[in-house]
Amino acid sequence: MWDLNKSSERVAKQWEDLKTEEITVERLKREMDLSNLSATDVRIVHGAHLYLDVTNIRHLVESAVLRREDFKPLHRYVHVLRIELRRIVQQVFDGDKIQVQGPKFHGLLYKPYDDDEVLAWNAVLIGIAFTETVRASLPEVFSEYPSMTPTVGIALGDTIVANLGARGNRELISIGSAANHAAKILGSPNAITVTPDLWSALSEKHRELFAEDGDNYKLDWSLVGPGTIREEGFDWSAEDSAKRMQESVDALPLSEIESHGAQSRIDLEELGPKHFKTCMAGTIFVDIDGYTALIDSKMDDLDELKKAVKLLQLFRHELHCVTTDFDGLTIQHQGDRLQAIVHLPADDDDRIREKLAKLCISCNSSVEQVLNEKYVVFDKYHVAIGASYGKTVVVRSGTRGDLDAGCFGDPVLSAEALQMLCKGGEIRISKDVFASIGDEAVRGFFKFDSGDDCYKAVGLTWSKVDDAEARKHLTAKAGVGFNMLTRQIDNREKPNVVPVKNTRNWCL
Amino acid sequence: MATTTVPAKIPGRQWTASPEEVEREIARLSAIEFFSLEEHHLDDGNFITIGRLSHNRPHCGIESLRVRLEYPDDFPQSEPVVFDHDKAFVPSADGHQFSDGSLCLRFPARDEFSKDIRALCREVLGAAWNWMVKRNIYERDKSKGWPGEAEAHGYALPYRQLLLEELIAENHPFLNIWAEWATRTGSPARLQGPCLCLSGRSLGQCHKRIAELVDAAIYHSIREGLAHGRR
Repeated sequence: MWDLNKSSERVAKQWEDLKTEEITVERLKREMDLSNLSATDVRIVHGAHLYLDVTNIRHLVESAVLRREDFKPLHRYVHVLRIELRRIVQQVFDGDKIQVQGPKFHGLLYKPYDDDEVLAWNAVLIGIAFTETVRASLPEVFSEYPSMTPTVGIALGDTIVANLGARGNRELISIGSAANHAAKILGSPNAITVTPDLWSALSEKHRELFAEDGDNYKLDWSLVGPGTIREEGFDWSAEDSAKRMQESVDALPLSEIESHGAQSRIDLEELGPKHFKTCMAGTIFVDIDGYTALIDSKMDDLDELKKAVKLLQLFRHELHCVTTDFDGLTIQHQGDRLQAIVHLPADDDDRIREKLAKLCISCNSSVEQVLNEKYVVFDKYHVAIGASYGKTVVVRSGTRGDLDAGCFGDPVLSAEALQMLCKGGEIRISKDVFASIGDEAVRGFFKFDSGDDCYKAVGLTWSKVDDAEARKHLTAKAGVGFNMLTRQIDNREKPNVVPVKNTRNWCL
Repeated sequence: MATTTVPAKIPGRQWTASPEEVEREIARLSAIEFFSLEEHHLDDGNFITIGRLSHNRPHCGIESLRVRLEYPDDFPQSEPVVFDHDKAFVPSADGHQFSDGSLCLRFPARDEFSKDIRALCREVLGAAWNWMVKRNIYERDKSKGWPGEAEAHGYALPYRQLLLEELIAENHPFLNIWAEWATRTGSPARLQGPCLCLSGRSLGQCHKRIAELVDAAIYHSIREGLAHGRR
């Protein structure tokens, strides 16, 4: 159960700790890279952000998650692809992997420094390598997935990069509009889409390889091919890529991959390429609305940027703690967004769904009743929350020391879609999650949105729920309703009827 | 079980003249579970207590209000007046609080409190507790208005409302017609005249309560400029 005092004390303590914590914010220079970022190091990085997604993997996931054995080949497919994409970015192009979000890969290229023209073109070459890896190399290794369709988005700009990883793990996050734009322009199958910023940085010759596509630009595949990469002096070919991925497949036989249910709380540390979990779970995405714009606006003022980073840490810490209070499991911090699941108590669908709904309200309550009440550094920031429930696969893939936790399944996609529909302060939940809410006072705040086929609540906090519950008793007919339900101070769960005269208030 | 004989009504200041009765009132206040008595004073026959009302919101913790009860001379014929002792709220009509900081707990013409000395402090503090809960909800979201039943502001409209409720309860056509006519035209009740319910008794002996409400509604309507008529 969410408790205002508990949340307030927790945030106050974290804020005190953050005040004394020395955060270093520096612009990334030639002699630096992102390999040894400590938890207090933040870098401003000018670079090209690349997102790759496989558009039709969702259909495979939806059918495969229903049976654990079916998911094993898909798990291996995603794992091998991830390793190869990371290798392409890091070893071929001297860039870095930021994060893998389920089937999505986020890379960052920041070299050469101070030469946007080359940087932008190299980013396009990475996009070509990504696309060819999925289109040409993977079907040779995974004959069961012959026609997967990649999509790539690339954007250029300044972002901040930080490492959230604990215990020596790398867990990079990147925040800034360039990272957001790259993710937002994903979509068209087999397309490499770039933002106007990146297109403008290209040489005139390379700009002509693109065609206008709305506000963005799309690569014309008739003018380039996989050979372009080698022609530009980079050591990559689709054949080499297929060979390396075959080695990765051979190193991970399906017989060695284990899948288990989750009767107790999932320990992400126990998961890896050879071990994933399948469970019924609720997924929640909590996104801080407007935070990216804040970071963009403070990019030239390091002191202000430090404050903004501390504010993010405060939000992130509190949202993580609230999730833990509900037996939830934080899967990833994706920039200024939190992804978490609730999967306990196992085999009790209704209770998990109800906990998920309460977690949504609790996250919003911590933000609105605590963070936005007492810790307004720049402005009030609201969160957009989406949640859904269903069969979910929890994985951690990658290489030792650089494993990314992720989830697959319809509820993950659905929760993400619901979150993206939300404005700040809104909560959207799927119909089955709403149906499991037992508390009438809570249900009353959700309205069905027929257009998006979900239930939506605006500005819902536990304070409003408490007040709605009290209102029910306070509106009892004056002079007749003597009872006002309240709870014992020392026994919160047990309702106690206190006889109280409910008068009809009057004033001159 | 030993029984204590407590007079239900103690006129004037007599109740504070009895130290035992004051002690009993302090004991009654101390026994109220949602009120913690902090101090009490008896000075020149005036009895004042100060204490804290508390409400535990399930998720949001305890909200409380320090109140001061000023006992009237004619307690328990009249109830103690409850004040927002620390001036936690800004007095306002929509917030049901008088400019002196006292809480608008009820419309005086409605007999919502008993005149039983054994129960009155609990009833008044209960109403004050409800007022505190309502006021806090109101402060958090004024767009929804006062959370609970409330009288219209002023005297005229509440008197008219009360008259209407009593007429509905009475459900006597002649009486209803007369009361409506009297309030509309501003004609005061003739207590010596026959009662409109055709009981054969005078109005003053029969439906005196209705007659008083008619007169009060007329009087306050004229005072507040809500009606034209004679008085």
